[in-house]
Amino acid sequence: MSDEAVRLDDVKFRWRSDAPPVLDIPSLSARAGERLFISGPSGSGKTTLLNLLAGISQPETGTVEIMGTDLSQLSGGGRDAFRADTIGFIFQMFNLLPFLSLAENVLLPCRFSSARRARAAAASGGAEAEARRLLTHMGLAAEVDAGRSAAELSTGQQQRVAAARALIGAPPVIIADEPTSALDANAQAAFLDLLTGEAARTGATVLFVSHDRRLESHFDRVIDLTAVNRAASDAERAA
Amino acid sequence: MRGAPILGLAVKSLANRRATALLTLLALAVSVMLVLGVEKLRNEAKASFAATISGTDLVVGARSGSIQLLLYSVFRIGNATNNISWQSYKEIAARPEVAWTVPLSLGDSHRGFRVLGTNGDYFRHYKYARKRPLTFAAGKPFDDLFDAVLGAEVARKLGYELGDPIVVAHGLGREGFSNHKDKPFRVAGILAKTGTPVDRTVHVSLEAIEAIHVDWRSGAPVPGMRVTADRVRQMTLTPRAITAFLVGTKSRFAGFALQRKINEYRAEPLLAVLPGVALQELWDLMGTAEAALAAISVAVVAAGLLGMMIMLLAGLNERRREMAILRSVGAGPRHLFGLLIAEAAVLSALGAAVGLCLFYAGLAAFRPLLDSRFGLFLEITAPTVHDLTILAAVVGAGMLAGAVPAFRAYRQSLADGMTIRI
Ligand SMILES: Nc1ncnc2c1ncn2[C@@H]1O[C@H](COP(=O)(O)OP(=O)(O)OP(=O)(O)O)[C@@H](O)[C@H]1O
Ligand SMILES: [Mg+2]
Repeated sequence: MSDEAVRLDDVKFRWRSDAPPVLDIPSLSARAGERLFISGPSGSGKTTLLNLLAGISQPETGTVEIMGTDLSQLSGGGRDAFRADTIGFIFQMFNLLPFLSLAENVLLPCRFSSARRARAAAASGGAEAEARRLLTHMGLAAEVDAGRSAAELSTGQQQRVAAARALIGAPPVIIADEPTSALDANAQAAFLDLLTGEAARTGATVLFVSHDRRLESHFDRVIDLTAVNRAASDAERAA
Repeated sequence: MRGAPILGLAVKSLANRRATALLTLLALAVSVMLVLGVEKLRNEAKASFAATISGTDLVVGARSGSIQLLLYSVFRIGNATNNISWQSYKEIAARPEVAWTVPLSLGDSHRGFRVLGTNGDYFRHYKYARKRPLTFAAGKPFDDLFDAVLGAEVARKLGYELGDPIVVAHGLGREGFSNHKDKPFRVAGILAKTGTPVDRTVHVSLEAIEAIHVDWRSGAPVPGMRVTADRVRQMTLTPRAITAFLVGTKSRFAGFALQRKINEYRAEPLLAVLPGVALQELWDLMGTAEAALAAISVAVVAAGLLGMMIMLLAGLNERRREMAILRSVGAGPRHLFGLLIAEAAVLSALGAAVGLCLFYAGLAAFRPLLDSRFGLFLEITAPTVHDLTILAAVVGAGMLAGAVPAFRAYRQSLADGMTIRI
């Protein structure tokens, strides 16, 4: 139990009360430090699942536990604060705020979580130094020094800044929603190596969703969402 | 770690949208400048209005309305319907409770400025503001029959200096073809600036008024009758009538009693008013206009704030990605609500600050014009408590207006979750 970082039980979710459920998952879990690949076709509910894990959407029934905390036991504000402390999140694209510098983008979670700011500071002697270390590690030192803005980076570079942001302050869970779908094969591999390598260093659990099964090799375990989601199989049977 | 990070983001996000943000800010600043300007004008106009006459206990004229009497005798606006006979004036002036009187005779003009016939007591007893007497910037009171004493603005506008000759026009026509060209005056004195209608008045002696009219009857020169300036000096020039007179009494109580006696004067219908009371009546008359002006300036600020609300609302849709990113790093809907309120607060606070600067810049720029054109002297002073209250109210109302887009951002972030919709 205690080595489970993420656990879903009997989770049902629908976007509108008159719509059929998008997710109906009897059970799904990930061990602490595990790198889990969740695959599923477009529209199968991958992003919806991540919204539940991040505590932004609430399941109709069932429980979502992250690091031993039942999200339904938290208030709305409590879930937001818990997300800030616990989860690093990477979107498919457009991860960065254009009006912040690269380092400020990386430091965003520290604005909302003093725990992550403290951990980042402890790692490098200061949160700003840690942001700098992560960006350098992601191969972006030159871009930072040149004072580039988010809009002046390639898509792959933007995704690496987003990875640095997800990793800062060592959150125990990293969630990535198809972060490599806009990258070419070489860039995808490099990105995944950096992300999983840094996550392994802090012992973070990585939940990675994608419809691209070629990326499976970077992960410890693969779950097909359509296999664990009864709603999807219902929909398929109906189709 | 909660309020400050949002404020920093608000400033940077606004800076990122500076084109629209600056326009919104400018509209707000102009409206704030307008409100402050209107308030300043209102207060200064009222103050300068109340300062027009002071130390005079009664203003006496032929029976008419008290406001009309005040207008023509003190403000030199409009005309008297009737005169006061010299005899009645003499009788009242001789009463024991009267300390001093100043006779006033109006009717002629010089290049748009009123000519006032009076005597030396005018310069001794006429007081304005807080009992300030008239002082001379140059020269002295009239001495010779054809001496004139100019108000500060008359001298400045027309460029007159001591010793210059001036010709008085009959009646109030600007370049009247009927004038008293045959009897020119000489500038004997120029008064220091007062900020009252005295500045726009040409003062001559009562005898001079009489002298320039000896060969006139009912507003026109008598044909064939020509009395030269030299010959007129030999004549007895006691006035037959005056337009009004000011009275100083020996005690305040005596003033009330005298007012009653004059109003019941049997020889001719007269009216005596307490200048303070008449001034208040006149100001109240303008109260509606004053209130309308204030209402308009408030409406302008409301329009400015509405513009800001529209700008923030219109921006929300294209900021959905920004909102989703913020939610992913731990912001709650209430943070996004706070973000929008902070943006509204920053915009309206900057609007108020820039508006204050514009107000002072405008004040410095338009001061000479207001002074020369309307005789309204505006002092540049530090913002009053009233001004600061207005600025605070603008910021408060701005944050209130920000609640509308803030609430929409709150709802939108609940509906979108972390899904990025473009
Ligand atoms: N905010 C929302 N409101 C209503 N319905 C939604 C919302 N987001 C997603 N859905 C619906 O839920 C279903 C699952 O969508 P989801 O975005 O989770 O799919 P996905 O697996 O992430 O797809 P993709 O690979 O294209 O990103 C879809 O049928 C979609 O129409
Ligand atoms: Mg998706």
